[in-house]
Amino acid sequence: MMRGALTGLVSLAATAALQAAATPAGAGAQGALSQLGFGYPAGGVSARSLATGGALADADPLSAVNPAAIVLNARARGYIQFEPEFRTVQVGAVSTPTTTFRFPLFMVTGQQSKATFALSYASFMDRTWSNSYPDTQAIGGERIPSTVLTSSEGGIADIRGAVAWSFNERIHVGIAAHLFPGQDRVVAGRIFPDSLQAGGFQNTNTYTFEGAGASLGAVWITPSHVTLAADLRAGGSLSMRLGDSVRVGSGRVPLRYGASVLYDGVPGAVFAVRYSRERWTDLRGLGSSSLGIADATDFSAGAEAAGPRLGPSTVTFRLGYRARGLPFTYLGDRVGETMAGGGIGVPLGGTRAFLDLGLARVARRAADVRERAWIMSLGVGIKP
Amino acid sequence: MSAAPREAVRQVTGKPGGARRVRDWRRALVVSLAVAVAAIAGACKENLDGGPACSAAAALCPGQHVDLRDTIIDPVLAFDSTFSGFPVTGGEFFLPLVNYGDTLETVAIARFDTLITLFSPPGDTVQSVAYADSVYLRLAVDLTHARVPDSVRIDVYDVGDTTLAAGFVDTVPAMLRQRFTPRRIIGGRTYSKIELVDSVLVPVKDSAMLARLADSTFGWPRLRVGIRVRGIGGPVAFRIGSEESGNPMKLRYRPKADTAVHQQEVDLASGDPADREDIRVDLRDFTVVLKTLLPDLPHRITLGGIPGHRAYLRFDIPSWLSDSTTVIRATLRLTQVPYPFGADSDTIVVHPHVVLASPQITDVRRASTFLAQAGLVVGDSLSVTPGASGVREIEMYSLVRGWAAQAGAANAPPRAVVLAVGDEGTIPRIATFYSTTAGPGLRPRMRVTYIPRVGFGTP
Repeated sequence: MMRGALTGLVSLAATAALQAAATPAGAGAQGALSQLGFGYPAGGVSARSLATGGALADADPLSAVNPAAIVLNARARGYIQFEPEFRTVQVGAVSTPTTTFRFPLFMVTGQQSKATFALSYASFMDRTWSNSYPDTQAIGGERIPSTVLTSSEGGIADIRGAVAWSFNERIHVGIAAHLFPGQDRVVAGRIFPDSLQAGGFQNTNTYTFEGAGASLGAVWITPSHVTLAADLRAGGSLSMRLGDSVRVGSGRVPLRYGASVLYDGVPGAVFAVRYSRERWTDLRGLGSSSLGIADATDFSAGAEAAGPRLGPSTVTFRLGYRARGLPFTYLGDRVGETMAGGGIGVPLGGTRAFLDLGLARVARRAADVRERAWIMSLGVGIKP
Repeated sequence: MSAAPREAVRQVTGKPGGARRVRDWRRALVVSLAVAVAAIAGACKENLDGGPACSAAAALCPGQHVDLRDTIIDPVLAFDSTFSGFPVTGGEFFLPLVNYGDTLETVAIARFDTLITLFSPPGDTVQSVAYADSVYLRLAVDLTHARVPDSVRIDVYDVGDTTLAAGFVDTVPAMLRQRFTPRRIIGGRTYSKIELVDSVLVPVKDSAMLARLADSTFGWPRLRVGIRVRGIGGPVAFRIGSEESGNPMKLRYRPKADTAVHQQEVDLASGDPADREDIRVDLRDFTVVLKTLLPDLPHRITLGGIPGHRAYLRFDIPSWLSDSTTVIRATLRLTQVPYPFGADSDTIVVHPHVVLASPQITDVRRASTFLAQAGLVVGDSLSVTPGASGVREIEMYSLVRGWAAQAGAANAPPRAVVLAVGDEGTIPRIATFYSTTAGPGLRPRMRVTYIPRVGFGTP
């Protein structure tokens, strides 16, 4: 039986990976506070957690955060998430709308006796953007008009293999191994209107990333309607290479710890707060020395309430607020992100599948740049 | 063991509702899903370009300026060679008629080696030509880059060999020069400047024509003429059409006094050399430099003039530049030396031609005839005057890129360019430049702006 569960898990993982490969990766733009440095940290939170501002993340079995939380999942489940972001960057009077598609999370879980297993793929850093804008370039002592064409496609993934053990119905612990593979295809080019003088170019560099880490966590469901969930991820080395050979930087996977506190004393509702801290400065050395990095705190609060029954299950409504810092600074200023949103969870086909829909209004700010976005998160879970 | 604690966290449970409430919520659910699907559909229309934000705040887009580097390759040429005699004799598109007094004089030679000896009067039988009047030589005048004084004298010389003199070759200037004597003048006229347009008819003596028609020394009557010009009141230089241009010289005469008889028109034809039709075709008309005192300057790249000069430049581009960089700009810098002939208004256009000859052709002069069209690969050109000096630049990044792309390819053409002037060999203007043998500040060099293929895109 154990063997059967593992086979199913591997099969689901392979399917998810194939879907990830076949689906066009997200594309947005640098030129945004959220895309600085190595990109946007989606955080591995599910659509359900996102709708609560991330407050449920440490106790959410579908968020790739706390390895102990996977015990709260169904016996076997596959989960996929789609997350478009509609962003507008405001610099003075210049307003630039962009759109980013992300598939930030796939997960499969299986259960065997008191052990639960999960394999997940989450976006650790999404560095996908493209830019084109007019500029001049000094060539041979002259300034020549040109159009800059740059793009970056890819990022760093967090592939997690987690095992959780339930001592009883109230105490669960988990441990996970993380791999951080990644690829970033950067294109830098220019077009010169006067092609007689200077030749346009389009150069491509492909960077690859490799890193490892481990995490552990616990969930304690107390008898007094309070659930405590906490986790810690310790980072190993994280390196960046140009192609397959030249090592251009190395750092460490950031240390992260966090905890969620849930209260379900009100019938039909769960209230949660979460605190998390990520030591992003561990990344120092991975990129250039001028890259500004800052450690960040993530605070969120949210609630989930039961709605009407839909067959044997219930529709749920969610609401949440989040305030956190992003890892990469802008002109020395920390970039802050606030998020307010909500969502619903809808059972499909009885208890065999569900749809989680989250919508969040996001604001980011640093120096004189303002960024506003709508993030829509759509998660689909299937119980085979 | 109770499942309640897990369930509380997994999914909160609602109170059971009535059937009507379920229907209402289902309706709301359908609406919500419809909104979600619409939003996702909207998301499918991606807008990727964040460029305006980069223009407004450059710090938002760090690392997007690739590192451009400059270098000067000096010397950039492995060697250079200047060759004269272009175009080849008989290959001229136009025939230059130049007379700069003691400095330079050219003549045009035309061969009419198949004179018409029979004609058909209207309503009569074919008759032999025993009469000629109204004999004219028609010249198509081209005044491009011309210098024409108030009056121009055009003389027609009989340069044909009537005695089968041993060893006489009428393409050799030294031999031809002896034929341009007053007693060989068989026609000519003085034209005012305003007459010298489009085409002119130069009269030829009827007696000279009759004499040639009657001469069967070579088995068939023929007439070979030389056209010589002289400016009255100053130097003269203009061009006439050649066989290659499709507007060649024509010889016209009337074979009978009766005006009802149609005028005969004789086309160019050459009977020599008998064994080389290709050369015979070329030698129907050609240019001969009768006199030149223009100096050939040593250690110079010389371009233009009559006969035409062109230069073969073999480049020596470092392999690190062509193999591991992207060249953005490559500027060939030539230092012009004033040439002591020509006016300030005389413009010379220098075109770089890519050499297409394979490495198997080791004769550099021959290789300098296998060329791409001007403007192909290298679109730039130079416009200079003979007396000017200073650094001149030719942009040729696309060629350097092409050479890099051919690196290692079998039978890749040599990295060479031929510099030749427009209207080569037909305009008496010369431009000279320092060659590779000159000093470091004067010899040809190349400024290259390039991007190393690594070193960008790191956050």
